Amino acid sequence: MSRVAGIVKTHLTDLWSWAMMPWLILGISFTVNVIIGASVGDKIETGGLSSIYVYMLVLGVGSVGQTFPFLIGFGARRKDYFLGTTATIALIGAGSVILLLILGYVERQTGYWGIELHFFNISYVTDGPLIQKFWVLFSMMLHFFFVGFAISSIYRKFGRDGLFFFFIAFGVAITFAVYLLSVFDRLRAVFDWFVDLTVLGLANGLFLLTLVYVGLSYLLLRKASF
Amino acid sequence: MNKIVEVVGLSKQFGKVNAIDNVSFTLEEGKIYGLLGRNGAGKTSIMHILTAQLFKTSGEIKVFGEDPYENERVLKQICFIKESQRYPDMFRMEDVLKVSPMFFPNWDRKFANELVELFNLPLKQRIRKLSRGMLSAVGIIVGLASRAPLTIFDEPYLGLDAVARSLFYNKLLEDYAEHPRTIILSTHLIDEVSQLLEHVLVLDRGRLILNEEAEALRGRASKIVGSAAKVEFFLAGKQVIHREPFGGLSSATILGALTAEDRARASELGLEIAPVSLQQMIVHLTGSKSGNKEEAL
Repeated sequence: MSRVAGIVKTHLTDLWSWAMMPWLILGISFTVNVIIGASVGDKIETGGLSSIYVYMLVLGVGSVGQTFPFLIGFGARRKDYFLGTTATIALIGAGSVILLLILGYVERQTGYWGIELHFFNISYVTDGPLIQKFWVLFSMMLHFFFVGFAISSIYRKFGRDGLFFFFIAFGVAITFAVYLLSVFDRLRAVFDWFVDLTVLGLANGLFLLTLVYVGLSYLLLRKASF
Repeated sequence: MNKIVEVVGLSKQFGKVNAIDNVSFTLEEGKIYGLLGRNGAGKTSIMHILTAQLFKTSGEIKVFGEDPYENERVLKQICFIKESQRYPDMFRMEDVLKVSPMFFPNWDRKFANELVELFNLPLKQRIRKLSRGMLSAVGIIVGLASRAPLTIFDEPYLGLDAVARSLFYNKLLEDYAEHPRTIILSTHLIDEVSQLLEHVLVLDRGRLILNEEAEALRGRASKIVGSAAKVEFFLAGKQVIHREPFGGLSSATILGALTAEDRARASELGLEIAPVSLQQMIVHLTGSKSGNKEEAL
């Protein structure tokens, strides 16, 4: 157990990347939106919140290279590396989402910062009761982190060529899928399905996808060698 | 004696290259082993396989009686300090000191701090900004203070100056005397460590060509120097691993202990017998076939 804690501690030694950088980026995004919102004068809803999610993807990509070779070198089990890393992102994700919810509350209480800027309250995404808001924002955070983590795991196991090959194959698969859908005239149906998707359904779906990424990354890192 | 490591018929292939070729050996508890050989001989691969960081192609391997892969009981008893050990970019020496006890149950905080002072390491500087020698010192500190029952040093002193190296050897011996454990030293500086080693394993192109007690090894080779003809006469029937003519003289290195009779005959012929250092012997053993002796070790 102490080794899993050691892995969490190793991650969090880089508090700058895990806890400060995302808020710095979000802060910049927010500032820009405030300036725009103040000059526009109308109600605006922005996608500025997405910046913290994009950053989570970057963090996921970076964390494998930063800590995996070090920790395996120090005799950590791959399984423990996984548990520790998942615990870290769960911790950081939950903390970040709580902060986002608090900021969302402040936003509503201040009349949207007095300038009708909807930065932390976005229709669809943050609709619904508090617990649902938390789950939606949280599952999206895990999702983005583990997308990055899985990409980096492919690199770790198969190297640069493996990653190239993966993206080529991925691109081909998507193209082929879209082609088939249009040939059989099902493209419309897929769009409709997405449109009809409730935000809770989306969050649950993303969570399931995240589990798939976690499983795949685990299989990759189990066999990654040095 | 307890067996710490048991390797039987271990092979590792990278593509078509046999990095390790059917190697078998056992390591016993409480000894200092030297794992020697040229670059690319397979030393690092073996150490990576022992610590489950690389996977064997075939063979059997047991560390503390078990398969080391994903095995916490085994892994927590090993400390492997590799030349290429990476640290997260943000890590400082103080972070290493904070995290290490969580991975090495026998970690001695006091001893670690003492070593940090001894090697003059700055606690607050990022590890990636340290010089090569200081980076090696970080590894040495972790390796010593972890007091792991199986401690493996792979080229631990790259970039370290002579003073720091002898500091390392002294601390290693001192601490080993107080806290016996099994140590593997993989190194190029054979002469420097030859006094430390109790047992020597020599790899050459993936094969284990020597596996012997250092004591027995020291008397095993001798150098015969004298006039070329007389040296040749003396060499008849002996296993010669190296010959070096210069002018009318010749020097030859032979393997195998010399009998009293041999010695008498040599002095009769006016030949000189000189001891051969471990390093010279290994250079001859591993460099002879490729003809590249200077680079050998």
